[in-house]
Amino acid sequence: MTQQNTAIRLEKIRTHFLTELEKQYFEVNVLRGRLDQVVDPSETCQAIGRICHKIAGTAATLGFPVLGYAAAEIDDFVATSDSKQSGFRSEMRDHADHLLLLMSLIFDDDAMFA
Amino acid sequence: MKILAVDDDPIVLELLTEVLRAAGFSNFVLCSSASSALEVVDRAETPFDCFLLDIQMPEIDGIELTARLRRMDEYRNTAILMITAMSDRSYIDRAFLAGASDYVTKPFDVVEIHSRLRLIQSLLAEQVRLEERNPIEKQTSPASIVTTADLEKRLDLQDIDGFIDYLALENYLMQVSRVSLFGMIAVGIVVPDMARTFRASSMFEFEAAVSDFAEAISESLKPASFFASHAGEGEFVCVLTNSQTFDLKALEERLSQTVREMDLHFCDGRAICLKPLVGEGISLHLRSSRGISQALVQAMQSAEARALDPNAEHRTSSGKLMRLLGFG
Repeated sequence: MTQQNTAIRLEKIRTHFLTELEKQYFEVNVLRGRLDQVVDPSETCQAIGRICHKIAGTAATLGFPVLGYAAAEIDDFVATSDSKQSGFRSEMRDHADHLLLLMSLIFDDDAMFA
Repeated sequence: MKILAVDDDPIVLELLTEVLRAAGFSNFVLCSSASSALEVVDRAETPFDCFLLDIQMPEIDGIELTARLRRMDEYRNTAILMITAMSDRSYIDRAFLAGASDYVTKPFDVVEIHSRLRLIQSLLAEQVRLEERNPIEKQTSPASIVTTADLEKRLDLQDIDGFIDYLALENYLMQVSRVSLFGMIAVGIVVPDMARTFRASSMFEFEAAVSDFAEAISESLKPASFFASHAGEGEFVCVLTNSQTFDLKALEERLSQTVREMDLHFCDGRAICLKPLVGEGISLHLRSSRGISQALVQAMQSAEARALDPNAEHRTSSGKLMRLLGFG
């Protein structure tokens, strides 16, 4: 009975995570677009990094390890890279595109919401 | 066990609730910021036994919260477990220097958190058992005469730069990646005749001398990056986190000089003569978790060996190289 309750509660947390992930998807999408427009991308990248930091903290525990590791990689990339370095912006674009793809795959998977 | 968990992510707090419940813990409080945690701590009728803290939080982060908790008398020795997505060693180093006891990385492994909490719980239970068995110990006053048990105790020297609790040092080394251990060496420092020197002295004199000596170690190691701990019985262990250019013989000379300049005295005016001996550097590279504990012991044994033969030089470079490569 207790195990059953735990499973139900974990499912609720997972649903909460997915609701947040939808919001984060739109935020990352807007920030990704901004990456092509701004002169200095550092603030935009920091904002993406903060979102990734949150996703990285819980995704794997809730059954989304691939998304979790990709988010952790971007969080680490933003924290350790110099935004003024050549190639930074294009690498960040690739990271953001990859993240958006992984997020959309999760949303597309109907079984996730069953 | 009464637990306070702090994280600004509501999903993490929800997960922690499940993790704690599943591990059989029901007495816990959750906070979404460091400032609300400090309010809860202030209002608590009974103190918390364990803290679970996130590092990266807006306004006051988990490292600052740890430092503030450690400044409170009742939480000087309470277990503080950092739960963080940060794998960057600089965050972890800062957390331990602020007083963290241990850490786990997010995404957290439920089994791992359970085992850490169980360990903390068993340490607490052991502490309660000891206090029940030896209630007099609690009444030890600064004026009481030092006993053998007092000499063996590891003193809390967390106010001194670079000094952390011995168990926290072990936890830190076990958690940092194998790559980070490259270039780290453990060095033992002993003060021979500690027991004889403080045989008839007061606890105040003993603790003050150990604390002053630790200050001298800290000053002598700067500006190197290091952690140090008191291991009891006049022994200290230091971990130099970037040892490539460190000269241990020069450290011994510098430390001796600093201690001499401190001109330590007992309350009755007699001089306290503490001559430090520094052991060999023991490489931590490629060490397993168990190997880490052994390396710390080896570092102290090396210093003890020098105490038995103070004229012995530090080992030759070839032997040292073998140890640096992890074959010692």
